[in-house]
Formats: sequence, structure tokens, C-alpha cells
Amino acid sequence: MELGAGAAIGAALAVGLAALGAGIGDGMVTGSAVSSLARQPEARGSIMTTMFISVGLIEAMPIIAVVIAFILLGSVS
Amino acid sequence: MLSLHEVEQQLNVWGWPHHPWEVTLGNTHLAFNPKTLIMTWITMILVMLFCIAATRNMSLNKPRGAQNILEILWEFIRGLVNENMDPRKGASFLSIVITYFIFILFGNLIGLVPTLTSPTADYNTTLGLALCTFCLIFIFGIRYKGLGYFKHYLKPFVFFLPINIIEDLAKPITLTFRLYGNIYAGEVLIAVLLGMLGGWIHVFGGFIASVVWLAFSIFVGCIQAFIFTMLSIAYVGQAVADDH
Repeated sequence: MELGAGAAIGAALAVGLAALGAGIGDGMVTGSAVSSLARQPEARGSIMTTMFISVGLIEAMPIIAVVIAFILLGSVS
Repeated sequence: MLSLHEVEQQLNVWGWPHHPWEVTLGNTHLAFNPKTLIMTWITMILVMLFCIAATRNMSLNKPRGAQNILEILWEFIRGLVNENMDPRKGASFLSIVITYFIFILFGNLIGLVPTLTSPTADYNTTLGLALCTFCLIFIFGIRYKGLGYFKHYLKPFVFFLPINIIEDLAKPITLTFRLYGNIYAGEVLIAVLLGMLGGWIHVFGGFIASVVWLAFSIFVGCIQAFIFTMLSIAYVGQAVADDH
């Protein structure tokens, strides 16, 4: 397998798995946030703030995977 | 469809120098990235202009314009600091946290202007900011707990020492790469979308993707500035907390 093909497959795998992880993680967080909002609507400010912080923290790893995919693609072309 | 390299060449309207600026002091060779440095200076000037415009002719009873924005920001971040740590300990920490927020916010948003780039899209800038937070954690911990601050590594059990050390090392690393990754990935995608736009310039639809991505990047820029600030507050709050 040549370098270009390997890098392309590596980049695609990295981004695909990153998207999967980010989607599942964000979905679980938002699901919990929505159900706790349904229980207690007056805690809206605190729940929304926690939700945004959690989304930012969870998305850190998938974004690093995307950056690695860009580095892989950049070393090819 | 243009490749990424061609898009970057066409976007290079201002003529950013390609080669790093090299400085040799004695035996050490330093190489600076001129694009990031110049954009950092521009961001600094913008932050200073905003804050000076907001605090000139300040009025207690009838605030106008930029003073309102700065006051809203100040109260918002002061609320965050007071939630996470003792307000007397947080009072001296408040100014640097507000500076983090305004600088990172301006830095993230300036990259969305068509031919400019974000200073935070370079891992060196974000590493500098994260190292400031790292030093602040120790400074505040030692100031309020003396050298007994280092006993927290042995809690709750002695064999947790490697885990606690790794946790302390992971803080600046994740801060750096979270901010860098989000902003750099956003910029590369802007370039990719512009590359794809080339052949479709006469079709209205090709423009929509660029606009949607820019709007999402504004959202991400604001969220990442908030998260960097919030995490810095949380880490320093953990360091000065009285009970564990």
C-alpha cells in the first residue's frame, strides 16, 4: 500500500470514528439535559450552562482526531 | 475544485511572509511564525481599543454603548467566579479571567473575516494561554495553602499519586488542544468550502454552505472562549477549595 492510500484511509477512519464518538456523546448529554429540564423547568439557566460546558469538553477528543486527519491529508498532497 | 494549497495561496492577499522569522540568541535558535504574531498584535490592539472605548467617560447612572457590554460581561464572569470559589479569593483572579475571555473571543472571531486568520489557530498561542492557567493554579494554591498545597497529590490514598500527577498534567494539554483543534479545524473547513466554491460561483447554492459554516464557526468561537474561561475558573477553584 502506498503512502497516499494509507494516509487517505487513515484520515477517513479518524474522522468517521470521531464523528461517531461526538454524536453519541453529545446525544447522551443533550438527552439528559432535556429530561432534567422536563422535570424542573426553573433550573433552566444552570442546566443549559452545564450542557454547553459538557458539549465543549466532550468534543475536545473528536476535534483532536479531526486535526490529526488534516495533518495526515496535508502530508500526502 | 482547488486544492487546499492553492486556496491558501489565493487567500494570501496581505502577503504574509512564508518563512519563519529566525532569531539567534547565543546558542539557541528561535523561529517565530510571522502570521500568528502579527494577528496576535492586531487582536491585542482590538481588545485594548474596545476596553478603552468602554471605559472612557464612564457614567454610573447613564451608561452608554460599549460600557454596557463590558458591564454585562464583567457581571457574568464575576458570577461564574463567585460560584466556584470564595469571592474574596476570586477577586484578584477576576481580571485575568475576563482578559482570557475577551482575548480568546476576539481572537476566534477575527479569523472569520475573509483574508485574516485567528491567532488561536496556532497551537503556540493556545499553549501560552494554557501555561498561564497552569502557573496560576500553583500560584493560587501555594498562596492560600502554603506548601501544604502539595499534600493534595496524596489524597484520597497514597497510591493515587500517579493518577493525580497525570490529571494535573492533562489540564494544560487538553486546554491547548481543545481550543487549537476547534479553531484550526474551522479555518481549514472555510478554506475547503472556498475551494469547492470556485466552479459554482454562478450558482447561488454554493454560497449557502459557506455562510452556514461561518455562522457555526461564530457559535463555536464563542463557546470555546467560554469553556476555556470556565475551565480555568474551575481548576483554580479546585486548587483553593477548603474542603475536598
